[in-house]
Amino acid sequence: MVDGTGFPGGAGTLVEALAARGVSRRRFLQFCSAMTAALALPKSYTPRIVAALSQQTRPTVVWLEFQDCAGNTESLLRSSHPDVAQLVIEILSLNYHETIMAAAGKQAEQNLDDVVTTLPGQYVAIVEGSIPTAENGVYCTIAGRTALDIVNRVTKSAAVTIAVGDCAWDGGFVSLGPTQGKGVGQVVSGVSPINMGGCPHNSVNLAAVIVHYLTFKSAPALDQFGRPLFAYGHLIHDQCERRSHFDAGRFVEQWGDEGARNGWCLYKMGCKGPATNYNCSIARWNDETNWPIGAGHGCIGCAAPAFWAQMSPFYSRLPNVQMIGVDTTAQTIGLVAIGGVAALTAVHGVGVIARMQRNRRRAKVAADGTVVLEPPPGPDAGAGTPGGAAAGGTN
Amino acid sequence: MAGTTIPADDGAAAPAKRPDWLRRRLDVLESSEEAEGGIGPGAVYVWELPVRITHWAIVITIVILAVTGAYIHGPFLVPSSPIEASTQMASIRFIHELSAIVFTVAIGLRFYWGFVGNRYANWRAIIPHNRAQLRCLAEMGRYYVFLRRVPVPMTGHNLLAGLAYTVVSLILFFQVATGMILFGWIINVGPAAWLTTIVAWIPGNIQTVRMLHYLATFLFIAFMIHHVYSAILVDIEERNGVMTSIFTGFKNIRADSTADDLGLCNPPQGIEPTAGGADAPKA
Ligand code: SF4
Repeated sequence: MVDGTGFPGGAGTLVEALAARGVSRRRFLQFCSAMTAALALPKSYTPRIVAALSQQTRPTVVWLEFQDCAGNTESLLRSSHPDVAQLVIEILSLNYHETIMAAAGKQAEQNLDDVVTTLPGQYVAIVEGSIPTAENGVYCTIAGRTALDIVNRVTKSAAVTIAVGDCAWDGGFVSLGPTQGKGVGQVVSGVSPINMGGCPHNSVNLAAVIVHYLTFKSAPALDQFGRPLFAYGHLIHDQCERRSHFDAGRFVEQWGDEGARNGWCLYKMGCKGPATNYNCSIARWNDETNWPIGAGHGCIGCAAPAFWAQMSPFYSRLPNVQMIGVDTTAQTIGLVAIGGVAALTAVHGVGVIARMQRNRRRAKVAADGTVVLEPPPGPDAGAGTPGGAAAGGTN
Repeated sequence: MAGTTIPADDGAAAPAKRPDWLRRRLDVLESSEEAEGGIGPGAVYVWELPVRITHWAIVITIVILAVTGAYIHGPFLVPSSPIEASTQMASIRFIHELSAIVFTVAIGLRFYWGFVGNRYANWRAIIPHNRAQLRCLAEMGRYYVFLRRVPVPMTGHNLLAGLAYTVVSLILFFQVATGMILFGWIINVGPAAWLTTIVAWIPGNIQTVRMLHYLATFLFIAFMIHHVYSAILVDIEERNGVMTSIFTGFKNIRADSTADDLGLCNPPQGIEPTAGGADAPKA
């Protein structure tokens, strides 16, 4: 069937839903090309993605939100080019999403229950926010159930689980707090979620993961942290527009200085681009307008594992050294070590010189022309003479 | 000849005699007496060519690596012109990486030489691992805290230095390992990608590696201060030419009058002494 908008496809399919919302075929194709690019696939894959998405019925998705700031939802909703959010929402049957669903109360929870019980193994679970584990997870309960309980129930029978944002990945910022928030992969055994690191995640990448799943019926290739390699396979530093300034040795020394105005490299301002894998500079934000480094702020490494702890201080190159009650820098420790050794060496040198002076005072020339020491006082008294030593040596 | 010149051979059998032999040796040294009967100047071939080459390769590369590494950590140079093309950071990183390769090869060769080199280069003479060696080590410790008048006379390394080199070697290996991980992190293809996999198991990940790589550099500098100082000190105290020996390979010492060659620090078994021996080149 071909309707007025030019979409092939039948009733209940994705394209029908898109057509009903007035999304033109041109836009749909643009979206498919963008997804091909985001997945780092060759252009020849676009028709395959178009074909797969055209024949799809809309996959059912539930979006769980726990201990979070809704930043990942915002990230999804704020992107508009090429209407990614709209397309994601359209291509998905978003049966449960606290922030944007129309249903409320019992009805909403009923929707979630229905998905889990009637479509086991056929829906996508997206988790946002960390799961508090202290006190059996009482710090986050929805409709009387703890987040711990919900995430276990929902993700265990999902076809695929996607953890969006840093909190759902490794607990994020809140993992350092009293609720002991943890990531999905850390609390649900037997489920390895696709981790979309970042604070927040980039919805272009989320759309690409779902498109990959719909087209190839499998998760994209993942790295050792369970992050899709197409988005987390390269260093920011290697894809940075300021890299030529880095190689040239031109650095921002201070906020607002000449280098900052000229867009020089932010390395000395603590940029974590060299430590972070992400396609931030390519996917970008706010309709692909810009990204943090483009806007003049160093990368804080938000897509790196446990970045709140590992990438801080955000404005210095290296992490501090934390020892029992002390928070200091590697440089301080190093300089203290050098200073300590130098001081000990100097003290020792003075001691050696003093001893030599003393020995010189005690030295006497013996009858045979050799130099001997006067017997020193104390336990050394009676030490052998050179002749004695030689004799001892040949005994 | 070694081992037959002293009764009760090595002190392991008669530890009570230790102060005696040491004191005797020491008095010989302290008297600065170089005539017959005492320790005479001789030419003992101690440091073979690979030992000297790797030593200086490591010294030179450490200096280059420390300076370029300091720049890479906190770029302190400014390109001459803000407009003209510059490759300052890129070139310095290249020098750092090139030196690192030389450094790694030198360490690898020295490590290999610890198994095939002469008795003074052998790991058994350097890493303290038996009681006699620990005794010599303790004596050297006593010397450094002024409880002994002169160092334990040694042809090769004294055991305290050996212990220090053991620790320094571990830091050298650590530095090579962390450097390779950082390099693999950037390259991230082929075998180098495997190195980045390791990073996932390190608490704090790549930033920890980066910080420790930086911290270890300071330990090298601290060690170098001590190393040069004690080499000069021993050279003065023993008058054995240790300072020139690292250039020429020869020490100004008679091998049968030192604690290691007399078997008092339990020299490596099965390795023939080469002191002034057949394999030594003519001085
Ligand atoms: S701004 Fe950051 S990511 Fe970009 S070149 Fe400089 S250090 Fe690398």
